[in-house]
Amino acid sequence: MTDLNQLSSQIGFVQGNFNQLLSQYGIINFVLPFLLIFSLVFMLLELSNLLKASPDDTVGRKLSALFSLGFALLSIYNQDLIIWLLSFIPKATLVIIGFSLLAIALAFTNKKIPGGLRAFFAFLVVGIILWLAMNSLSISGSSSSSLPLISLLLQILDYLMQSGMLALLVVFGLVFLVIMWVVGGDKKSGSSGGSASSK
Amino acid sequence: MESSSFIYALFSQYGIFTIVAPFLLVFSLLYGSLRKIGLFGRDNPSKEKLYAIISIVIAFYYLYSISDVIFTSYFISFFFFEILIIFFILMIIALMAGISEPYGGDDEFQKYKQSSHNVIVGLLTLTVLFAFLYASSVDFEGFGTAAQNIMTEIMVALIFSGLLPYLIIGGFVLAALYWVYKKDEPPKKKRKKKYFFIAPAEALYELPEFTKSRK
Repeated sequence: MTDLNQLSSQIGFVQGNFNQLLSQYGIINFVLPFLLIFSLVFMLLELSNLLKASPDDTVGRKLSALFSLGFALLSIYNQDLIIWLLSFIPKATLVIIGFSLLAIALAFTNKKIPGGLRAFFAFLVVGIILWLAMNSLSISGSSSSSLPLISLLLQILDYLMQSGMLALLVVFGLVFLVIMWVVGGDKKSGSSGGSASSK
Repeated sequence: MESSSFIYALFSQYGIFTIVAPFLLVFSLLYGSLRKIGLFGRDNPSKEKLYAIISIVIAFYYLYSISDVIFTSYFISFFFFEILIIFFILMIIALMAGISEPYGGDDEFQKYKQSSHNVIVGLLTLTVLFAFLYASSVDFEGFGTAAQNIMTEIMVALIFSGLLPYLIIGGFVLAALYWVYKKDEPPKKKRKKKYFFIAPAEALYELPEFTKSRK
């Protein structure tokens, strides 16, 4: 038991030293985000040919590189982004590892995932990644940035309720729905009657 | 974070974040765009110089307003985060596409898939709007506050001028008139509900394929 404790403390010590070393030279907080942003933006610009006059335009390629450089530096200026990345990327990588393990496990069966299940997995992936992204945004406290919008919506709702306009609109909407339902029902029965008579 | 603040402070001190980076961003964007659209003709011998001068001048005008530069920083940083989210989603989706077989549907399914694809494209364009909303919501004096005020003012004006209920009721009336006067359509086929679930997913699986096939 003591050996396990020693081992875990050793791991913690090594991990702490490693993180400290990375932070000391600004690797985590400057170099890594810069490289990630630069390469992704450059790749997207190359893919879209946004700044190129022709596919072989070397000047356009250099301009794309300059744009990516400016984009990366200006993005890093917002230090919230560094916190989002530090929170989001490790967990998203974990999701990638999880789905890779699924692929490895399925190699035993020699069968592919059928269409319905494939659709379920797609929504699962989107859900998990969006959830992780929302979590990392709320960790850095930037969720409070949406407060003005929420307060505006609350203000509108409050006004509608206080003035009685909300009740009026709800009643109006209900009457409209009932009319649609009643008239739509007649139409359906009429069409079914028509088909019956044609038979 | 303290040691990283050293680099951050150093770059801030020499104006890398507030002068060099925004200049590079705007200059390269304008110069590249002007070259691509060829606004001053293809055969003009001094067009490149003109493009360069115009881009430099506009970039310096942009640098003059520091609040706009900071707004851009928030704007593009949130946009990049959204791009990263899409990148991770596409990466896992592409991984899953390799170990699963596509759903072989009929023509109706293909129509659903195309519609889903259009919806996904629409959602992707919303990333810019979300980034703008985030940048507008961040508390600082300048463009963000102005943009935020515009949205607030529009809503407040709609409420207090009494236009909002009229707009909603008018919408109902228009919908009713359209419903009454619309032409009778032939009876539709029974929709397959599972297509609503499978078609968007298949459209998602196709996205990495599209990017893969682009040159």
